[in-house]
Amino acid sequence: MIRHRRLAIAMLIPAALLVAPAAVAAAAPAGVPAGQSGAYLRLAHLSPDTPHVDVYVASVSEASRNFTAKGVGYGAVSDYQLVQPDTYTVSMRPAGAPADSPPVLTTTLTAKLGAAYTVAGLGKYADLALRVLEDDLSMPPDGQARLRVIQASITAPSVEVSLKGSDSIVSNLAFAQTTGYRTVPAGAWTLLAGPSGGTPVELPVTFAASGVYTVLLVDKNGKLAAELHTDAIGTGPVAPVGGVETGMGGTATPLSGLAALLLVLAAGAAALVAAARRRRPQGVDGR
Amino acid sequence: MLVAVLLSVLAAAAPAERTAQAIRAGPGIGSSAGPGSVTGVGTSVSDPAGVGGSTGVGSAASSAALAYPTALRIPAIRVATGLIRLSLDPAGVLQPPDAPGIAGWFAGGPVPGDVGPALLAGHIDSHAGPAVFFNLRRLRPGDEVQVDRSDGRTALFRVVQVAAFRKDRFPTEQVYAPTPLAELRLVTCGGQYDRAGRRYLDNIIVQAVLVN
Repeated sequence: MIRHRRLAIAMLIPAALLVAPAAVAAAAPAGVPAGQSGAYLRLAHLSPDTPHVDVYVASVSEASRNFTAKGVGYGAVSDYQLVQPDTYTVSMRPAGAPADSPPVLTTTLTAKLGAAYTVAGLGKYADLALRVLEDDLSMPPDGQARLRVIQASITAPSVEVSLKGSDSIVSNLAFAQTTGYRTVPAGAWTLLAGPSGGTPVELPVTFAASGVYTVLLVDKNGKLAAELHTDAIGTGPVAPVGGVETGMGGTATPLSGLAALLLVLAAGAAALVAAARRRRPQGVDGR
Repeated sequence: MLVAVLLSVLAAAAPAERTAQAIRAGPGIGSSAGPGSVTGVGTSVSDPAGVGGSTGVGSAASSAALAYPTALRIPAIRVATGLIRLSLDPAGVLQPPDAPGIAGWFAGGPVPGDVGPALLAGHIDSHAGPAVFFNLRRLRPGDEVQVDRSDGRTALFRVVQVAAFRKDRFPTEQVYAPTPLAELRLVTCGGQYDRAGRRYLDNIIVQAVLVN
């Protein structure tokens, strides 16, 4: 009898453990929104006649999200930082100025989940502005890349940018202006940038399929120079379609687990019934 | 005869028992997904790297084309596996690894450690039991993921999010769209198993961001 009872208990323990994976699996939140981890933010100093600056990024709600970039000079573009979605003030002070001194410039940025921003000091010092540029992270079409131009050179009143042997990207872009993104075929190109109608400089570039790029025009030693900055890279040239079939069901619980559980419970009950039946005759005898 | 049945049930239950304990030892899944999981990411940075230089200048391809990932380690769930190359089938669907014990890298996308969303996929189970990514859903934000590369570099990532998505509503943009940083997407199956269709209905997607 005791042996039977122990057996029944021994049976019930694995039965309970069998239920656990089913419960955990059911707790998996299908369709949970939000895929990205945060927002992306980078800083740029694109004002040719503005001295070095310290850039302060401050969250309006949580001071631990604040950060500072010190001693940023003309032409500098930072790497992207992953930041919490939040509203931030971005302030520029002359390099070395106290953190509590009045900023030269301030702007506000509401960083959204999964979005990328370039905050750039753009224009001449006299009319300097902090511009918030939203960087395009949507998927370019298969085999394509995406490109925009930021014009921060004052050597020519307007510039022209094109890909050698292809259409013009922009033919008449004034200082402190930017273009929107446009798609270009991925691959190796020679980028041409120069005064509108004048002699361009050449820059060999390679656009990855699904890549997103910014062509930055700056002055170096008094001459126009073109730089290619990678904004983002995607899955290309062709991203997979739909989900991924990565399971064969060997640990799926609905049938195997439940069936085993029912078997165990039935067996346990049978054992108890058998034990009870054995006890009853003894009771009768005792009467 | 009854004892024989019980013993056979016991034998069958033994692997499942280990499985259950492995799951119960870890944190719950529900708490590890959703917007709350991003807390603490990217905060307290005092001096963003690269400011003052012209980082990102030049072409994107270069060394990336030569390197490929060779091994994956996820200490929190005791994963240590080699990596095979994955490709698309004629319909454009990602072909999973053909073995349950090894994970794979989608060679048509970014290399782990390079800018972009590198994709690694592995099975949750085989016909017989747990497979290489069985415990992927147990990962939590902050957990470490290491990927060895053929160029000798080890890319170190931190998990920023774990979530489940229905396969018929697979978040293509979130998984494959361009990212400004070097990121990782770890994918396996999860949710309900559709016995008629012989497939799980969900994909578990772990997102991680490079930290070195």
